[in-house]
Amino acid sequence: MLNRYDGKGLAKFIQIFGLCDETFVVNYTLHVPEGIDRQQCYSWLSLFNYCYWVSGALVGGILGTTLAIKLPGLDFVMTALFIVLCLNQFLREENHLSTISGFVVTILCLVLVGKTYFLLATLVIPVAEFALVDRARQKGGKRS
Amino acid sequence: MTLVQHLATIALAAVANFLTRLLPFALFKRSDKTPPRFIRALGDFLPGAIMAMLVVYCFREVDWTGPTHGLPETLAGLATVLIHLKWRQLFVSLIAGTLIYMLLLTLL
Repeated sequence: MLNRYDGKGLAKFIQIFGLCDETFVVNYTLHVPEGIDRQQCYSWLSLFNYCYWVSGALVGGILGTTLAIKLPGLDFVMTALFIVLCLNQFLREENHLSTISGFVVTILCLVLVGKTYFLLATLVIPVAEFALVDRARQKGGKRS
Repeated sequence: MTLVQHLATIALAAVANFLTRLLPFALFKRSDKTPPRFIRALGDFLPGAIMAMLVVYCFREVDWTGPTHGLPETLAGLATVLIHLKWRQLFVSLIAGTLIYMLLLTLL
């Protein structure tokens, strides 16, 4: 988004403040037609998305306290969503090193560190791994 | 918590959240340079690992030594993968996978 966002003043504030996962995905994949102000598009989309989030959370909070329906297993929606997103990523990428090592590293960390803090370790290791891979690639590229 | 504590907590969370979003822009935008090559290459590399991480994260609470040995989670997860490979429709996979999981919970 660094290369895309170029709002000024208030627009800049809205773009940066509103950059949550969902807004990122929409704005990242957005195709802005000719003749429409791209930066205005980004800003309004961020603002509207923020409003939907606020109102959605409000409705959820009110409904959640008044209607107490228990559906065991409904939270699997989250797991299924991440499985599908991961699968899509896997099918799209040419090199599976990142995804596969993500699985291996996370499972190892979960077993070794325990379920409270394992994400912290998991975030550091792939970055270090990439630094090594990248350095090797740079060297290889220069040699050939 | 008192009202002041509530407000302070919310304010702190808001500031911290805003800072995480502001930081990359503040670091790389000021000089009108594109971010360093390494940062951009990292941005292409990390999503795969993070997706895998999120999937494992969802399975962290599964009790593999419990009465069902994580069977409902594993089977429903596999079913979700197969359904998605067959139809490639996000919502079909989500709803079917979740229904299968809920069904397995009551059966096993």
